[in-house]
Amino acid sequence: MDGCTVVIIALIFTALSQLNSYVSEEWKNRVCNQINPYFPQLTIKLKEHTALVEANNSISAQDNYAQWTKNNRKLDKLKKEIDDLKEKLFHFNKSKIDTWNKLAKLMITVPFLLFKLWKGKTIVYTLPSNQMFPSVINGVWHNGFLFVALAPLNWIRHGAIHPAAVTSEGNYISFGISLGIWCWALNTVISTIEFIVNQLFIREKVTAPTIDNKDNEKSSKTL
Amino acid sequence: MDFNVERNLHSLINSTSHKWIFVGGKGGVGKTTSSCSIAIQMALAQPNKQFLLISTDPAHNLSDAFGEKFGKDARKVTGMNNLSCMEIDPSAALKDMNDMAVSQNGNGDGDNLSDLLQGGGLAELTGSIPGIDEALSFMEVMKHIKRQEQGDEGENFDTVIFDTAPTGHTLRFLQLPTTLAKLLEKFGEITGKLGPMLNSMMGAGNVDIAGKLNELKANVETIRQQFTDPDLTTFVCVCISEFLSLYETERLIQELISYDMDVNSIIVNQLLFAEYDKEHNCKRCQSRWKMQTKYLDQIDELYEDFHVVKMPLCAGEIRGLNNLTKFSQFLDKEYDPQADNHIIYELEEKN
Repeated sequence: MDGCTVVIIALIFTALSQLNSYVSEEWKNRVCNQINPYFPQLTIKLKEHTALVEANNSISAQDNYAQWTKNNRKLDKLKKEIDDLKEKLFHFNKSKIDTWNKLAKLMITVPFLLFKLWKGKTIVYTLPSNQMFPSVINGVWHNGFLFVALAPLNWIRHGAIHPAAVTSEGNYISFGISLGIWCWALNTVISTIEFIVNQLFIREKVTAPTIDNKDNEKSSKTL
Repeated sequence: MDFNVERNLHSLINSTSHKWIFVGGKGGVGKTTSSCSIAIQMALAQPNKQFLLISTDPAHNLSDAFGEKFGKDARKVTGMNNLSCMEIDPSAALKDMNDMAVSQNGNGDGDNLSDLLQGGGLAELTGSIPGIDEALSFMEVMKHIKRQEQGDEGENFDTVIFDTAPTGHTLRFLQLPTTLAKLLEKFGEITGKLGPMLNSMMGAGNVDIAGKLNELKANVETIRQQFTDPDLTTFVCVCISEFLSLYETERLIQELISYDMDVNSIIVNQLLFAEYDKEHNCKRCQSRWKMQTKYLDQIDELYEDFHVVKMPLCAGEIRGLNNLTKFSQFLDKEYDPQADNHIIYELEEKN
């Protein structure tokens, strides 16, 4: 498998997992409601409830006491049925969402993790020069973060933190960026962009707290 | 379902199975008069049985209704051999409990928790607990059940009629068995784990907490079973033909149904029957009767499977055994506004 294919597969997995993370619980609930057998029943009951409340508000309780009381009895009964249906709807949706999450984990997260473990050290592209970064950083780019953990052991065993960096002819090998590091960098970029977009456009602006002068005056008088 | 139910309480008055009869409703609708009337009619219809009328309302009215003083101990109504009355007085009952605790604990060395709880502070503490009236009424019920189980002939009553407090109090009282059962369940779990420690805290060998709790639990369960058995227990709602009273009655009925209690009787008091009263038929009476008729029609529509008993408004106060007996006959045989009209003025003459 060449570097290009590895990158394309990694990009597909990244795109899929990002898309899955963008699917909100509300949206999942909406989708589940479409297949939920209790949802149509609940909709009917809620409509009945609204109609009964409107009917009760439109009549005088004192002039139509019997009708008003009958409506109240129906409302009490409906309320119980609605609560019961809501409970059933919630459990149905929860089980479906749990299945969705498990499937997503099974089809995206786990294969992507295995793929990264399998092809994590594949060099996605080569650095134009070995002098671009210090040796330790070059080692991390080339071998992943495990390089940092193994560095002391390499130093003890071989007298150098990167023994494989020098070829048998005494030349430095050309360093590259491994798939694991490339994926990490890509995810960091995506989450930074998400953060900026979220802060600038999605999150509601929090107004600065203001001090009410009247309150201040009151408290100073009390003191 | 049989919708042609009688418009009287004949079946209840002659019932031999009912052990507990609750009479309740909104304040000022005639609960005490109705409960006294039921008790008198039952006592008259079944002379070989003993009846007890208990007031669980903190503002007792039984003494006023019969015109003689009743206390915390059951006492026979003058002129009736098989009807006794009692008024549960929370402060007196607590004082008794306190005195008993002090006498039992007289030789306490003052070291342990039981001295603190039983040595006088208990009454002061419990006296201020909300709902203590209901709890004491409940204790009274437990006492009667115990007596019945032990076959104590001297103090045994076949039927107990409760003249209850206004709706809120009554519902709290009727909820007590279920609430206590849940509470005791939890306590049981705790004492199962901490029993020996609790026993040592209460004074070694002095109080067996687990044993007491189990005994209480069994009693509470018996009461719960009896209260939800329609052959043993029923609730009679009392109201007047006005919106707020009917609204509260409906709330009471729905709540009782949710407690699995039997409720199938409604007494509608203070009716004017103005159209049949040729002598005293003022404009005000006519308008109020018109209003009452409007609500009566609604009651008939809403509670078609209930015994709805329509009782007249009397010209005077219904006090004393004679007046109560006269008035109460309309519970057994429904009031006929034309034939029985003179009775409501006879009561006036007696006062």
